[in-house]
Amino acid sequence: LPALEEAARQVAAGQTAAFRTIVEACSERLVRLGARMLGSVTDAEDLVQDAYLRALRALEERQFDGRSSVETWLHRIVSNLAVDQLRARKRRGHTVETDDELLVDKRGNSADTHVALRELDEWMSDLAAEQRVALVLSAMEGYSNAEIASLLDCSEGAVEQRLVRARAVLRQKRNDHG
Amino acid sequence: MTMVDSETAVTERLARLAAQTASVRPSVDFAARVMGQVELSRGGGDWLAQVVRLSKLGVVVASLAAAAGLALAWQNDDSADREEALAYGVMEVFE
Repeated sequence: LPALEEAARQVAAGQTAAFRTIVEACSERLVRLGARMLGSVTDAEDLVQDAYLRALRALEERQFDGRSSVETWLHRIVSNLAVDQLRARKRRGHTVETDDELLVDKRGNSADTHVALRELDEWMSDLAAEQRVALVLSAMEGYSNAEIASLLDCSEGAVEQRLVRARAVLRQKRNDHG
Repeated sequence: MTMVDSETAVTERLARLAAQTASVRPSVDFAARVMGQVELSRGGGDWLAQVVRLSKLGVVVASLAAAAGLALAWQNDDSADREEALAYGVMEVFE
């Protein structure tokens, strides 16, 4: 996606309008990633918006070094924000209310999609935030352990451990519920 | 159920949920909303930067005023000392 790298260069040079190119090209994947991590499209949109504002600031302050692609860098920001949000949710004991989304979705997402997101959210609710995010990146987004380690700024061993523990929790949950 | 069965079940459920959520998409006006927030943050950023700039200027002006006040006080104190010494000399002459 050389257009994104060019847009990033333009934003860094002060042409904020070029940021729209990045937003239009990346939003679908980023919102889907966020929705899988948080179990809600609405929460995902808020998260991705926050990620974009942080990314814009980083580009303007020339903190983006270009070692990864713009899209991978955005995935990193979204993943780390999702970890923070899931941790905060655990502290507050928050659960996602997808009923409202079912009623008011104007995005064209089907009711089945929302039901699947709710199922995913409930199923993964016992996982630690880092385990959940690592599992979504691995099993649903197709990232390798090395890529996840880079995204979450940890070792491959730590990723492996999170995935093993996450699967163990889900296996146990399945056994407990029959 | 064996561990292998459970593991397979977990993998299959993850794959099914991945397929069912593959079509998730943002609102049609999402990009516009994000760019609106960008504009808003620009405005807020400029306002904040202006406040910071004015605050810095205020600190400089206050520092200069304090230095001038100190110099004036020192000067007054010095002339008061001289007047006091002069008065003291006068007193000595009278005594």
